[in-house]
Amino acid sequence: MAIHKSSTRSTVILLAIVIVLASAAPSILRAFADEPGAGTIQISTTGAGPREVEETTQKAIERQYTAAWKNMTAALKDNRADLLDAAFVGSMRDQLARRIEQQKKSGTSTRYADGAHQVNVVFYSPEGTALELRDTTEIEQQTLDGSKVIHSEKVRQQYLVIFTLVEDRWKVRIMQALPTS
Amino acid sequence: MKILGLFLAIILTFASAAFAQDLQVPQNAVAGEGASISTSGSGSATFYLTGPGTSLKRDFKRGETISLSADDLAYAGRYTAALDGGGAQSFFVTAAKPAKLNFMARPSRVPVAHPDVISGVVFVLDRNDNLITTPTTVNFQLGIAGSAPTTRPLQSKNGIAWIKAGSGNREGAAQFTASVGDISAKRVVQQVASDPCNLRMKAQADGKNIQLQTEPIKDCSGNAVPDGTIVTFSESAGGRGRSTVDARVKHGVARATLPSVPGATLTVASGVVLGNEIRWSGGQ
Amino acid sequence: MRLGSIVMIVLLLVLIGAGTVQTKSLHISANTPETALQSFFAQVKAKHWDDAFAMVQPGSGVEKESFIKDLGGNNESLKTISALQDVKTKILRESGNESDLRADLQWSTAVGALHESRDFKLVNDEGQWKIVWTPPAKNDGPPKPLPTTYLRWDVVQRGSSRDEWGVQNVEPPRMRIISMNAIEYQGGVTILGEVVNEDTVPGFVTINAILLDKDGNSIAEESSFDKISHTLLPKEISPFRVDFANRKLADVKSVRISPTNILVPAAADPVVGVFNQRIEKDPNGKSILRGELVTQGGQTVNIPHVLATFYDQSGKVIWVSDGYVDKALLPQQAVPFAVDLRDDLAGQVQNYRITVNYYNSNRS
Repeated sequence: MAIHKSSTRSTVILLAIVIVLASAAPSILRAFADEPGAGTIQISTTGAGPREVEETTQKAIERQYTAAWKNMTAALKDNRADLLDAAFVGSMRDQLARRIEQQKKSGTSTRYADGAHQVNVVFYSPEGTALELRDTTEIEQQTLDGSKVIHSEKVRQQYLVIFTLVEDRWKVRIMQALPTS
Repeated sequence: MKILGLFLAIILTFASAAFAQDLQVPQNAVAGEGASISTSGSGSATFYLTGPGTSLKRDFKRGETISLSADDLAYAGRYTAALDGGGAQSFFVTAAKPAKLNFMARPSRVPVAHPDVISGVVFVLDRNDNLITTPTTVNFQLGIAGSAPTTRPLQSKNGIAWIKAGSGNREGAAQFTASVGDISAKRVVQQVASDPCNLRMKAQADGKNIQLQTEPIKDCSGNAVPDGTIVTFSESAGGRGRSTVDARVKHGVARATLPSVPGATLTVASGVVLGNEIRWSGGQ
Repeated sequence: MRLGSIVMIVLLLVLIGAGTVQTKSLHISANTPETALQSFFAQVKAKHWDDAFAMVQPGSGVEKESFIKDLGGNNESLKTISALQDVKTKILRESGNESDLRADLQWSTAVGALHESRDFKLVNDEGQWKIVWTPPAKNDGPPKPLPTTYLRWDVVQRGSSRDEWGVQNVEPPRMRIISMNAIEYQGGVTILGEVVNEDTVPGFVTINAILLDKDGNSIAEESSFDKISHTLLPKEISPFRVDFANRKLADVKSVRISPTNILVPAAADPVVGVFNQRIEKDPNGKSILRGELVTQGGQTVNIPHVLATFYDQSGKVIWVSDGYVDKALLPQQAVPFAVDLRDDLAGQVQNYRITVNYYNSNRS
């Protein structure tokens, strides 16, 4: 088996860096979490239409979107699909549940730490049962195999989120990451 | 602590960039279609793929191509491919072509001749319920049997197209259709009679009683109000008391029997609409 | 022989016991007309109909069956599920062997206390005060069923419980609050108003009201409970009243009213006419709105519920009161009703409107 010397050296160095980073990852995540505004969600309704967003609806969406991120983070970290029902419905719930099921099988998990969210309501249906928002946020994402961090990255991400009114409660039905232009 | 965090993040970015060369992720992946990731190097490794609805873990030999099935990439969004020895690449999967229209038409019942009372909202989705965010032309069509339907093409924005329309003058089941290419979704909006218009009654003596009957009750567009609608007949005789009957429309008219009190005033109303008034002479 | 003795002793004891009971029931304390009437209602309260009827002066038209129906109710009326709670008697006139008395009766029912005031004549019959029973007025001829072919609405629900986003469902009927008024009454706040079903299908409506303070915070939340006609047919108007106890109007900045309405199955029958409506004073000087209820169809109404809306000169709703009728409505037979009117408002009332709600044992 022929292995180049330089390749071996760089692999060893990079592995060392990865190990250092893996051990420091919790501190990094805490540092991000400690940033002012981390995880906070403020919703702007400027430009929303065709229906004007009622104050109570705006508050409800803020509350539910905060809950959605919190529940999704906990569900993907602990592989618990039962945490999804409070904030997700339909294909989005199925999508997350499927991912959790696969994570369980492979013994992996995902950790998210979301920063401040800049959210704009872009559509509120005339009859008031569906609402679409565009969210721009920075997220720290870690893929873990057991307790070993396989990959960690921080990205600025934009989401299109559709909320629908389900039995008097707003729930996330679609949450789709958009390609960065 | 923050400086340390930043420092480590920079190192990680450089390290990932170095390893990223090991993975060639798809550039134009489409949801529900298979794709492949080519790898370089040698030796065995473990491959991880995380994305919407997906969390894969596979052992493979470096240098081989990793095949991803249509089911692995069912959902649109951001996917990250990573190797256990380090190295990761992210890529986006976009929604496929339109396959479903989620059409919310409201209301299911609407009074005739009212402007902007019908709304239709279409969410353009692919077969895996991914929102198609590229602008798509949605054709809305609204019409009632026996009259030409009105059609309006509208562009979707952020996956949504919507329309507001007025109800027609004739009662009946209006067909409300939304279509994109050969995919369509149909809803029915029942156009119902509006408030009664020109409500009139006549009175006839019947022994000790008065028989009251309305003329056929119609709205201002000439549609008959539905049976079961409440029509209130009142008889007021000043200090001699009053009588009322909340009658129901049956076969287009409402009837009631009230005691005959000469000199009484008879009135008729339905909801907030008032009808004519009769001064009862006692049937003479 | 020994067995025969035991049987004789047991028989003797039974007969003595029976004799004691019989004596007790016949020799009820009836020394005065007032105690006689009290004793009579003690038997009614215990539903000892035979003993109560034994205190009635025999006479023409006095039948035990109609007597029991009169006091205990029939046709699944409210009276049949009521219990006599309290009786207050008062002598109106007394002369030798005859006395006129008034009994104020309080019945406890599932819908709250029911008050009834009845006048009685008592006569002294050989040392015993007996009640001269006035049989209830008989309607002309026996009640006969009349066929009706009114409309009925049924709601067909979707069988599937899975999430059906975008699938068209039938909406609840459009209800509109057409008037609303907040007043202070008896140390509390009362919200009054009217709601109309503007739709072409029936609906079940409940009015929920939230009192808000100057900062927009909720102070209290209540619903209309039974001070509303819940099932509204197309174009039907119902009054509503929501009571908040121990609240001050000065603390209330605004009121948030939210009608909850759902599509329900309903029938357009029965039609109840409200005849001979008038406001008058009762024997105690209280203002009362009286009238008679007559079903115009062929259906029996078990428990009628009368709602009265009172308006001032400007047409504003100033009070809503209600009352249950303890008798069932048989087809085309008039049954009297009475609804309280606040005495302090009697002078302001320029107009009123009566709606009849009902509860039937077979109502779906």
